[in-house]
Amino acid sequence: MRDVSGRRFGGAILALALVSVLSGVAAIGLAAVSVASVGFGPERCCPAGGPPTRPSPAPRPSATPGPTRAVGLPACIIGSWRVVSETSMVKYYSNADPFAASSSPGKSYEFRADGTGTEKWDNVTYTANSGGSTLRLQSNGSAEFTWTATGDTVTYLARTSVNLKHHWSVPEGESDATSSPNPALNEVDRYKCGATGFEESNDTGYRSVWARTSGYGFYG
Amino acid sequence: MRRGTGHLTEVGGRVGRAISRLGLAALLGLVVVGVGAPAGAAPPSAEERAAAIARPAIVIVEIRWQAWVRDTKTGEVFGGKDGYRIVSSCTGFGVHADGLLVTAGHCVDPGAEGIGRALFGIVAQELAAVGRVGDNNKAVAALLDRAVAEGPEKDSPVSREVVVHRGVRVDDRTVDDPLPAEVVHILPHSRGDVAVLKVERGRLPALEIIDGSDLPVGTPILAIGFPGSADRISDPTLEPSAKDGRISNRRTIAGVPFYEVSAASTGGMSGGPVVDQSGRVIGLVSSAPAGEPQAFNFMAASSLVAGVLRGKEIPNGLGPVDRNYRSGLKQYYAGHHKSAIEYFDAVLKASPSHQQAWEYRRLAGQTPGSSAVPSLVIALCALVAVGTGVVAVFLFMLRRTAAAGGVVGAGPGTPIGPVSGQGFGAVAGPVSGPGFGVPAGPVSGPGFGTAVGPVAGSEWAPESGPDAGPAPGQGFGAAVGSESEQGFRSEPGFGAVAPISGPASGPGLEPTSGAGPLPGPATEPEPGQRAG
Repeated sequence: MRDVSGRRFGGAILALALVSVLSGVAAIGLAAVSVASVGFGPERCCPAGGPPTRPSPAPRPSATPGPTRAVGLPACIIGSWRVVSETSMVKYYSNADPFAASSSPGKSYEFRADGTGTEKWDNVTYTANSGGSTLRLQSNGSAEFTWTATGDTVTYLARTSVNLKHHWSVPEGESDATSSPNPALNEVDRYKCGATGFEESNDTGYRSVWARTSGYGFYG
Repeated sequence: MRRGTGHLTEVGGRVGRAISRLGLAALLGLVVVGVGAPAGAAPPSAEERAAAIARPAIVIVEIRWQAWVRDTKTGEVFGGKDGYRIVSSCTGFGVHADGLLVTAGHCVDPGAEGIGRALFGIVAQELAAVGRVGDNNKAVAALLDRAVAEGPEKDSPVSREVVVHRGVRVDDRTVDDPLPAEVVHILPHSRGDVAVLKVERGRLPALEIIDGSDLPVGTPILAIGFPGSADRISDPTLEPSAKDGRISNRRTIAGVPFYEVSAASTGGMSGGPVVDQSGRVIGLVSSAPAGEPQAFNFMAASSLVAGVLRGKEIPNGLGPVDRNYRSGLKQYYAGHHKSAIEYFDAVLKASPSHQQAWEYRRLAGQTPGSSAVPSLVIALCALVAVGTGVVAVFLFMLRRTAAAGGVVGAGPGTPIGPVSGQGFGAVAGPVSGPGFGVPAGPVSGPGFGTAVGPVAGSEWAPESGPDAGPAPGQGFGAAVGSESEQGFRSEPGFGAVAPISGPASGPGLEPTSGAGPLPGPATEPEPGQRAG
C-alpha cells in the first residue's frame, strides 16, 4: 500500500517537475524569440537637424523667357516637289497680254532649308491657244533661286543663276530663247502646303499643283 | 498517518497529472498563439512586403527639356523659335541618405540615346504631318544618323532641368516635395543605362543594392515605377505601380549585362527599381524591345548601378532611418504593432515627413496587434514553471515526511536523516539551478533535474547541503539503498533523473550548486547508487 501510494505520489512530483521544466524552457524560449524578433529596439539616428518638415517650394520654369532661336523656313515647303499641273501666264506677243499656258509633266522644284532652291525643266511643254492658234513652248534646263516664306505666302527673292533654254512653236514659226538671272525677282505667291501636296497661285492667273517626291528633305 | 499520506499521495498524483496536462496544453496553446500568426493581420504577400520596403525610396524624376533638332546635313533646324519644351517623367530611387538617387541613364541623357531619340520621334511626327516621312521608324533612323539635339546655338548643349518629386507628410496631409536635382553621372543606354542624381536633401530614404548580375532565371522580381503621363507628376498622392514577374533570361548586350524580365513596364517606369522579395535592388527598369507584343522588358543589372557608384566613389547603402523603417515594417507585418510603432516613431523622429512611416504607424495604431511574444505568455509560462515547481517540492516534502513516518515505523535504527537529506539532495544537488525564483534558472540547468533545481537551489541548498554534504561519504549509498527497499529507488521517474544528474558531473551534491561544469568525482554516485 505504501509502495503504491509512494509511486503515485512520485508520479505527481515527476509530472509537476516536468511541467515546471517545460514551462521554464518555454518562458526562456519565448523571451528569446521575443528579443530575436523584436530586436533591441529602434536604432538611434542622426543628430539634430533632419530634413525640413516643409517641402521645398516647387521649382518653376524660369520667370524669364527661355532662349530662342531664329525661326527657320516652313518645314512643309522644304523638300522636293514635282509639278502635277500648272497654268502659267506666258507672254509671247509684245502687243498682246500674256496668255495662259498649261504645262506638261517634267517640271520639278527643290526648296532647301537654307533658303535656296532649284527649279528644273525637263522637256516641259507649255501649250496655249491664242486667237484660234496653238502656241507651244518647250523648256529645258534649270534655275537657282532664293526664297522665303511666311504662313501663307512664298516669295521668290531672286533668280540667281539660270541655265534654261526655250523653244517656241507658234503659227509664225519657231524660235529659241534663253532666260536670264533676275536678282530682283521678288515674286510673291500664295501657297497651301500639306501632307497631300502643295498648291501655289497668284493674281496673274498662275496656279501650280505639286506633289512631294522622295528627294531632298524626305526622311524615309 | 500512512493512510493520510496515501490519500495525499493519491490526490497529489491526480493533481500532478492534471497540472501536467493543463500545463502542457496551456504551453502548447500559448506557444502557438504567441509565435503564430497575429490576430487580425492578414498575412501579406512577399510582393506586398517588398513593395512596402522599397516604397519610401521611390521618387518621380521630372525632366524639363528645351532643345532644338538640327539636321547636320541640310542645316534644317526643327523646333521653331522656342524649341521643343518637353516635360518627361521617369522613376528613380534613393541609394543614400545624403540625397543620392539613381534612375535610368536614358531618362536624363540629352544625347541620341536619351531625350534626343524622343525629340527625333517628335520631329518625325511633325515631318510626317507635312508629308516628309513615309515610315516613321525610317525617319527616326535617318534623324539618328544625321541629326543632333542642341540648345539655342549651334552645337550648344540642350537645356535640362531635373526635379525629383516625392510625397511627404506635412500637417497631416501628403504634399509634393519637389527637389531640384543635379545629374552627377550618366551611363548611356548602350553602356548600361544608369544615371546618378543628387538633391540637396538629407535623410533621403534609400534602397539596398545587390552587387550582382547572375541571378538565376525564374527569380521572382518586382518592377516598381510611376507609369503614366507627366501631367500627373505633381500629384503627391500618386502611388507607384508594382509589376511582378520573373527573370526570363540573362543577356549581355555589347558587353553590358541586362536581365530580360517578364514584368510589364510602361512609360514613366524607366529608372524604377526592380527588387527581389526582400526589397533589395537587383536592377532597374531600362527599356522594352521595339515591337515586342509580349510582356518582355529589359532591366539593367544592379551590378552596373553598384559599379557606377563604386567607380565614382558615390556613397550608397541604408541609413538608420531606413533600417528602423524596415524593422518597423517587419514588426507590423508580424502583427507586433506595439513594437512596430516604436520603430516608426524612431523614423518619424529623425524624418518627420516620412510618408510611409507615418502611414504604417497609423495602421499599426488602428489595431492592437501583439508583441512578438506577448509578455503575458512569458509571464504565464514562468508562473507555471514556478508554481508547478513549488507544488512538486511541496509534494516531495510531503512524501518525504510520509516516508520518514514509514521508516520510523519500520523499525529502529533506520537512518532517517540521511535518507531524506540525500534523497532530496540527489535531485536538487545535481540539478543545481542558478537560483530559486528565477524562472530562467531551471532551464539553464542540465535537464530534468533543473525543474527541481531552482526549488532546491539557493533557498533549499542550505538545507540539502548539510544533508547532502556528508552523504557522498557516508550515507548516500546506504540511504538510497535503504530507500530502494521502500520503493524510493524504484520510482520510474527518479530513475530517469539519475542519468541526467550523472552527467552533471558531480556538482549535484555541492551546496554551492549552480556551477555545472565543476568536476566532482566525490559526488559521482557510486554505480550501486544509481537507480534502477
